[in-house]
Amino acid sequence: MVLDPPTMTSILHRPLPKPPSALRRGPFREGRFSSPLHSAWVAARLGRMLGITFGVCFLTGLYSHFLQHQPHWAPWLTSRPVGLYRFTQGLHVATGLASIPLLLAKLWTVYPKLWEWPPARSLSHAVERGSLFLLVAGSGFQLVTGLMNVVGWYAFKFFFTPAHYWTAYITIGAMLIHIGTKLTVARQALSDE
Amino acid sequence: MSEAAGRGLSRRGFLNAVGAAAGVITVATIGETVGPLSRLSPLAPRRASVGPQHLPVNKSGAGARVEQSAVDPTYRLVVGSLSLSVGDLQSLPQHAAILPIACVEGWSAVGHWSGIRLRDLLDRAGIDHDRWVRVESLERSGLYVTSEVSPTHARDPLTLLALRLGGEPLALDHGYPCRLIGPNRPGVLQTKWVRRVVAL
Repeated sequence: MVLDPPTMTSILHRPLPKPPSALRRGPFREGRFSSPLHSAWVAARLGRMLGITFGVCFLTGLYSHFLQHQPHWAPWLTSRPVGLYRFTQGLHVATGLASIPLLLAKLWTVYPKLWEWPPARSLSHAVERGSLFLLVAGSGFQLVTGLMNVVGWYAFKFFFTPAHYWTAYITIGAMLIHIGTKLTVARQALSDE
Repeated sequence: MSEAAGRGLSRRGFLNAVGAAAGVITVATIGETVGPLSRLSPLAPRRASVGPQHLPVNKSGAGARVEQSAVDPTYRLVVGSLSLSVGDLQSLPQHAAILPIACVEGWSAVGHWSGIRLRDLLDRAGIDHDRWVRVESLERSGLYVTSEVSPTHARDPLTLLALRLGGEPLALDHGYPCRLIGPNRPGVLQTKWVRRVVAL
């Protein structure tokens, strides 16, 4: 069955039935998280920094990947400047390491949203929240495996480089979706001094 | 704006604390690649000046199991149809290059290398200018026992099969009898204990 676009949109945005409020317990309770640090103001600022560090990590990582698996169609991957790779890879590892406290703080700032009520307002809301799983899992995987590799702790059974390379696409893709869905809220929060 | 006043850490204070943590981590590790800061970097996994011949290594000769094959008197470097002993290599024109080893793991350090230009060897072996070549190690197994060299890198006057580091013969851990060292190339591709170079 192929749905025409208007029908699809209405299905995606149709409100889902509300779960019984008796289920709204524990962390789901209203007002459960009262710290002002759990705010869009903080999240947007940390998010902006993470956007920059992840962007730098992604681009320098791609450069490293293509230097190591040099495609024959890329003669622009040249031997000059002599120390370019030294710079880009130092930057890659430094921004990756700096991302660790930023990500931990960001996750702490927004984790009350995990207990949002109702858990899914509509199908599109559910899909958007699902994509956050990819973003959080991907980010955690990249930073943890990257850190392990930097300190020479090769405890995982898989090969680091392909796993780190392919997960980068998943993570950056999920990050772009996240930026797209949060752009309005983030802009407003950033304009608030 | 000041909703947090009187309730512990302010939003601004929290951001500054997180920023400071990121800054401390950066300074504490960046010395593994920015030499002058190495004293400030107690958490750096590597120190740029610590290792055989004052240069770090990731894989030692013992780790690569080449302790015997690398010092075997029957060792020959094969380039195309050429077969060269260590003595032959030493008698060829030697060139110097100051090049960093830049590891994918984030550390880097500069070495003063000397040896034979790869392009000189390729010319002697009659390998064309536009050919990619593969450099193979004595190391038998591992992810990086060979590396491919693009024509641009292979023909670069700074790309050497180095025999010496800092004026001394290469330490086994640095790839004795000879290793590839080229400009702007990840450390894992600077193949050590080279036994063969083939045109692709």
